[in-house]
Amino acid sequence: MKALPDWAFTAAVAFCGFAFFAIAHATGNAIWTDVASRILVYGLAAVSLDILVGYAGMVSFGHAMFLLCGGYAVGILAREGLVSGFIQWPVAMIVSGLLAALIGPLVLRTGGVYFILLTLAFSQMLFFLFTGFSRYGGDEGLQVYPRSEFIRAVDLSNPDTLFIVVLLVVCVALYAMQRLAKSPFGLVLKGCRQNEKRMQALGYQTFRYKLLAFVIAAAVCGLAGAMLANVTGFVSPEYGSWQRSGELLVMVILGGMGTLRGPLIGAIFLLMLEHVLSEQTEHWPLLLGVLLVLVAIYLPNGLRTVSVLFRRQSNVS
Amino acid sequence: MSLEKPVLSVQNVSKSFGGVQANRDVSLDVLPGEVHALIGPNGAGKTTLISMLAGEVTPNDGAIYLDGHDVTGLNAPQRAKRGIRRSFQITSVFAELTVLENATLACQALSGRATYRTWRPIAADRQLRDSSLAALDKVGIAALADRPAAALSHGEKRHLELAMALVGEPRLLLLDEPFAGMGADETSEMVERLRKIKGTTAMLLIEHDLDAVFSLADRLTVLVLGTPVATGDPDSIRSNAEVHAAYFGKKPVTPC
Repeated sequence: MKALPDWAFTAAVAFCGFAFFAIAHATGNAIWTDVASRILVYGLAAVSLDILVGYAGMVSFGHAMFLLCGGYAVGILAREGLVSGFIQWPVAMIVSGLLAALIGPLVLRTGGVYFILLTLAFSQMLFFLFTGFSRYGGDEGLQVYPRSEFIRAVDLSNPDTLFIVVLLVVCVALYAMQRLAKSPFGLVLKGCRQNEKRMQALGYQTFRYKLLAFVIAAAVCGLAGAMLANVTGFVSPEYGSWQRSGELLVMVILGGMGTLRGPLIGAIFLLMLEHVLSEQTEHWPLLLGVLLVLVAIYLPNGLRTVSVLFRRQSNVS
Repeated sequence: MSLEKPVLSVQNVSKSFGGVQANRDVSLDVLPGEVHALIGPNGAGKTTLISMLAGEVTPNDGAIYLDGHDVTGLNAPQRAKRGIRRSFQITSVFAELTVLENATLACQALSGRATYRTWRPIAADRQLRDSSLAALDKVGIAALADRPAAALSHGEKRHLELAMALVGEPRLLLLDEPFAGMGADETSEMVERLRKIKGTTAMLLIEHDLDAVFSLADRLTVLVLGTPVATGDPDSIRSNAEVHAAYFGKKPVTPC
């Protein structure tokens, strides 16, 4: 079977996004766009984490710290009167990338369990650092006002406009990461995950590649944070809580790691489930737990392979 | 031959792990195009020595020279770039990648900055694809290019490993038990393969299959308890009394 071109997945996401938008409006459910924007943003954050977990084999348990970083970059700049999104959003990416470049050399010295622990430790440090920032709301959080401004016609305080902007940015970012996955750099990352010692014996200074992956993933997650700040109109240290990092990991693993599209599916699924179930019962995490166990047992490659359940005879790729 | 400058020169290298002395005062050299075999009973420190030469383990003492340059302070990737390549005792290919991708990783390791490219797809690089296929062809497995490496037989994986080590004409090949786990047919095929390379690439070979060792090696060094007890051509090693005592248990050598 001939593989689909790189842009097919991005095009599918864009198509589904616009179709959803049209249906939501046609059925008088325009309020859905808010949830949809949130899902897209978390989806992008999960996809950026997949670059680390699924490609480079670095299981980060602190990835949400870059959501916090990007979110506060927007919140603080807005508070200080710098409202242009053309500046805010790139700054969110750069600051997140710089943070990763700073802590990367420390956390990348370790592997496996210690990498999990150290990324968690740094995200907790950032969490408590922002809890103490009283100028920017401390643990109460910070209102993002006004929203990022681009051009006059684009008003992000309108949920519809925001959804379209988020959809377009997410599609561009997805495409870029799809390219990365198939690039020479992407292959090096896969090699690092499977056998780092072998990579070194071939001549790769694996540390450099892993650090670059860490920085890229952080910058993309920072962009997601910047958009999340606009979606919720509010940033707080909770953005970078360890529970949030855990949710991102769940999205990646639930959807199917190492595939990019898997984590997006995972994000859609998890947040929809949360949205629907939390209206029925406050015990919804219990149901989620049961579901995770089932997926882990029956779909070890994640939800994206759900079709195997319906065609048991054929081979699973 | 003795006038030739050695490719690899190991001088008085020692290594201990905690209280265990793995290598003590090892000196040896490998001449251009030569197959130098390292034999010795289990626990003689052969693999530790190879790991030190590859740059994965730092010696406590002594120096390692490649083409006259001191490489003792270089790490594994730096030495690989200078031309020291190794294969592993336990087959180490990238199981989830295709055979071609395995070779591609070996090829692009030498291309420097190109490996940091994140936009251009790897498939678009014709030159890289050609050189990767050529590397596979060298060991006769180009036909398997599109198979996942995990689907290869043990012998085929061994050949893939050799192909990856041979990319870019290394100065020195470190082969850690290349025939381990192979059947008789596969072994003789691999011996033939190595014989073809012999003369162009210097090799340091660890092997327990003495038949294969004696048919391939120009010189042998016998390692006992971390120290070389004898170095010489196959005939002199065969008849060396000290070697018999330490390694062959005083019986005359009949390569089995």
